[in-house]
Amino acid sequence: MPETEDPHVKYETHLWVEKYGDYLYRFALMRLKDPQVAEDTVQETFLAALKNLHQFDGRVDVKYWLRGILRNKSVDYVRKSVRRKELQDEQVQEVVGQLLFKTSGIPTSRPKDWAFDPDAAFAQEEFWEAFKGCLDALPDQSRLAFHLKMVDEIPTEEICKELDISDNYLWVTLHRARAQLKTCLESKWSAA
Amino acid sequence: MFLTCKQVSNHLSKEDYAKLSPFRKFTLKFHVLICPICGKYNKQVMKFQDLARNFRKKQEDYLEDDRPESPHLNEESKKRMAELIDQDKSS
Repeated sequence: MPETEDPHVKYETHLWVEKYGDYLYRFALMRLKDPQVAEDTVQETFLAALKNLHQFDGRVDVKYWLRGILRNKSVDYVRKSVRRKELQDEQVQEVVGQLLFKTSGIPTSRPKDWAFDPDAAFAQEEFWEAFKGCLDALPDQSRLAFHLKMVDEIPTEEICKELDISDNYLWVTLHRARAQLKTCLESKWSAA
Repeated sequence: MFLTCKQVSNHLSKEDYAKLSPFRKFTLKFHVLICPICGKYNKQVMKFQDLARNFRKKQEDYLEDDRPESPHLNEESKKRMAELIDQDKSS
């Protein structure tokens, strides 16, 4: 391909909305829940991508490049919308780990087992819906923290930087997300 | 030499195993192996990781799923976005 070729032509920008719009919209919806916010974020993503089109080297698929930009835009949205909260030491102590401890560091209660097997559950179509519902019920920040850490596997330091929160705050957020998901899934799924 | 259960659960919930020194890894493994409570907690953390892995796979299918019942941008929004892209192209 000649060097001088217009990147709009090369990367077929006129097909972006048709080819990737719905995919990106679903991705945004998973993370941000609100349809209007998701739509706005997708639009911002397209515009940001056009602005940086000259930097795109085509080494990854356009779809995944756009998805990466959308991921960052979602993070920006949540960071701006969540009021920055400082965490007290006692709160960290209170929630780190799922166990309560005596002063000697010995647990006072046994962790409870999952009421179902997550592997087997995912084989069933309805479980996906239940899981999605439980994720939607989480606060924005917890949901996004779950996605970044557990799904995208972004390193902790990076997540903290992007969301502008401390290490401890992230762990507490993730811990709560885990506990909330567990409770929600158990009530939705075990009853089924 | 010995870790308390509190230290163990701290490491487990932070999932920072890879970052620990070899000696710390050993003491952690040893504790999880002999302590029934931390063993159980470790299983739980691993279960949650399984859950996330399964979720990741399933999510790809969901994002690609173009059946009418899955979420779509409405036509109006698509048109607007396509116009914005077109404007940028000619600018």
